[in-house]
Amino acid sequence: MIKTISDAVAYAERMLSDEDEHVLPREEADAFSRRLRLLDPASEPPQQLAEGITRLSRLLSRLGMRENARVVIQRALRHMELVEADQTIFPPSAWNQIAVQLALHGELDEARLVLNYALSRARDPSSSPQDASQDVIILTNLSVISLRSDNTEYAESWAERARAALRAHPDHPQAGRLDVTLASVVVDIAKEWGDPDRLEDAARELGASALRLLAEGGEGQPEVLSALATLADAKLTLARTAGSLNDIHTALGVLERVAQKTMVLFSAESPLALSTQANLARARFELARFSRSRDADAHIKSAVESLDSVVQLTFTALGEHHPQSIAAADNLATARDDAKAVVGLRENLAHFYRPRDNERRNFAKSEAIRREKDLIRIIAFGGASYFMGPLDRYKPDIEERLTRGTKVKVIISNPWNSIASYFLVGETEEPGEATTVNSPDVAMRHIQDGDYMQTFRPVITSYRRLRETYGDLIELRIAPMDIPGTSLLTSEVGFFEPYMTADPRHRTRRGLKTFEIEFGQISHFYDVDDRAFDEYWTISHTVDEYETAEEDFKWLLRRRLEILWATMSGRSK
Amino acid sequence: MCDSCWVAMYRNDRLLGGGLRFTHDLVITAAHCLGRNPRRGDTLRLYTAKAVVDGSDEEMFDGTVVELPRGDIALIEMHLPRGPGGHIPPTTARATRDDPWRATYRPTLELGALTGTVSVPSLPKKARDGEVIEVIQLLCPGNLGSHRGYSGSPVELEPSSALPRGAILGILLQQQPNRAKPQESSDTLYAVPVQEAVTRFESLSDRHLLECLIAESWQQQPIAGAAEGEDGKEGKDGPDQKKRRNSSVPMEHADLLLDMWGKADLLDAHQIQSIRAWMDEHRETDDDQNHL
Repeated sequence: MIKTISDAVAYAERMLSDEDEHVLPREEADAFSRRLRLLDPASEPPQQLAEGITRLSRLLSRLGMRENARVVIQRALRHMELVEADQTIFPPSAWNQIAVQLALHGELDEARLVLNYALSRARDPSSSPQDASQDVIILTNLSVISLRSDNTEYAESWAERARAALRAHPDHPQAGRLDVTLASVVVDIAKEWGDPDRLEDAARELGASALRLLAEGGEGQPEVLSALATLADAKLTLARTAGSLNDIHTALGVLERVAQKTMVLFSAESPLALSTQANLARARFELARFSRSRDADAHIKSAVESLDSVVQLTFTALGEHHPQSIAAADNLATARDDAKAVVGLRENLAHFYRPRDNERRNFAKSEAIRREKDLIRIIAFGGASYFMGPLDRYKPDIEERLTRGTKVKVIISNPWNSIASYFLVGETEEPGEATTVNSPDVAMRHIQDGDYMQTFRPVITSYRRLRETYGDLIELRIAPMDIPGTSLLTSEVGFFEPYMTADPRHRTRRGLKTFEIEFGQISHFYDVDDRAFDEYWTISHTVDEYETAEEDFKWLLRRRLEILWATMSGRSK
Repeated sequence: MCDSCWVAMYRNDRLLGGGLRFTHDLVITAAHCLGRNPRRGDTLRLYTAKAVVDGSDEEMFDGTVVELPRGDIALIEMHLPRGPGGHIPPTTARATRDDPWRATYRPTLELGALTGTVSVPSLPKKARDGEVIEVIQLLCPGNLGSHRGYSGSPVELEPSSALPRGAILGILLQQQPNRAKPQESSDTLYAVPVQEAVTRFESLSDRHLLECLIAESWQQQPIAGAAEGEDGKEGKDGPDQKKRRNSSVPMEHADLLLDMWGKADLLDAHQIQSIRAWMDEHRETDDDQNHL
């Protein structure tokens, strides 16, 4: 029975020793996962909770159970927040530790909030004296997390405050490590801002800080190796800016050694090794692209293969939605885009969902919508899942994104398009019974009373309401032709489900009937779907245009049905 | 599989053994492959996997032994033309019990690959030169009687879903003699783990890599005392000053380096004292020469 964090740690340690650090087999991981559901953070003494969670999170990650680790951290955080509602229980260091774990799992926004709370706690006059040293650590972590969230201005501001705090505490037990971390942040900021003079200064400072730490603590310190990776990357940037091929080769050589050494010492799956390998592969790609050697194409291909392999490793190690994974995939996508003529596009699928995977598919699509910051694009037959109940499947996610400024573009099918010809097929009482033919009047009534009233009109009404609230952020268009499958495209990922059936009633407000594929932004399928969306969008009507021409669309369909009916009625039975 | 990360080593057309191409220009091998008394600076000829398999002349390079630390390992630098290169460095991993492995290098293409499982992932063992090093104990069934010629081969973990390209665990060093027939090999082999080898090479030490980077970064700097900006800080260098770049280390780094070199017995106390005296002299007299 696993009830306390200590129980879970002991269990995970036993699994690790049994498995010799291998990822747990699925059934064992599932069994452990079930046991972890009973874990109660309240059973742990408050002084040991953050330590225990940190240890457990590391162990679970080594066992390949990253998602479980994330859930355990979230539960611990919720517990800490609840029990501190009207009293002070956990020291700033505990909040800081939880924030670090959140950041390691890619929850940067939440980590920043927790760190801000930890900072105010460390500065609370009633806090114990040891919290003054926590202040420097928390400020340093805030600068690192801001940088990882691409907020360089805040990263700089936090780094300056951390440095001032560090100067006020020169005897801080972790002074050397914090100094190197902050110097690395400053180098990355200068690199991000593209200021070579500033980058040179920052790199020199980082060199001095790393030397001091090396002199104090000797070889093999993670912070020194991390500084080496940052410094080598900065050197490469400077050499590129200066246009010195000789310096580029030298810097690339050192970066490669650092990348290989990092992988050897910390494992190929460590975030530092992965980011250094990604920087190396990207640098090799750029060098190959701009070199004019006769082997340039082969070198470009091999560099893109390296980037691809880093992306796959990063996905496996950190999960596909970790900010570092997204950055690595972006890196690869840019490289592929820059060298499309040489490398082509990938045809791999991220996931394949069968009807039995309906819930998993729904969850993945919800997640994709929730992560999108710029633009969500949807092609759907009826659009009920995105605009209306009864399930309200993705509508809350869409609305949540709209409140945060994400644009949403949707294309649905014109209810009076040629697919409605299907309603000429009459219902049969028994299987195997001869099919009857409906008259055009009956078929038109089927459409009017069926999908038109039950899906199309409610979707348009829902759209108009959303439009009133969110204005141009949401736009719906109506395609004049049949839509044979549904697509969802975000900046990172795409989904496509073919309908297969000609019966419009089986195309909307139902679970997964055929299959759905999920593919990354760097794939051939995304490229195809991306183009398809643009084509559909161009040829589709706005809602106002549609409403102006609706009677004409109805007339056209009725005419089509009459021609078809006449032909079918004349057939010999 | 990492089929491109091994090399075959030759001297005067004689096959010496295999090696792991750890970076595009660095090869790790068993020192005993290089002869009875290998020395730094010894030269040899290296054939990449492509050269051996395809006979490509463009994939044969000269190499120089750059390091021979204790523990029967050696580091060789390949002399490559400058360019981006197509070599993808190998992924590495730590051995765990029962891992299936494969030796990627073979003395000739007529011979099969050695394969087996890891029996002990980490074990202290005396190398040929008496140095105790960490090794991986490998089981290699097949009753071959001898595994001669395979030394220096990369030992690869068979590919899996997590590591589809496979990963290098170590470099083959020794065979365990059969106790009943000592002239024959048993089914047990030993490899030095990559991390053990890497931490023994000075060229891959944090200190050496940092020194390379610091010297490089200083090379890009104007020498101290360049025209002052309005705020009193060091200004941007003019065209004449840009020409006066050099590859020395800045003075503040030099003090730290001297401390480390002293601790590492690379310089004796007298040498350090003389250098410091020279530094003090130049620090006081000429700020423009604020470097070693």
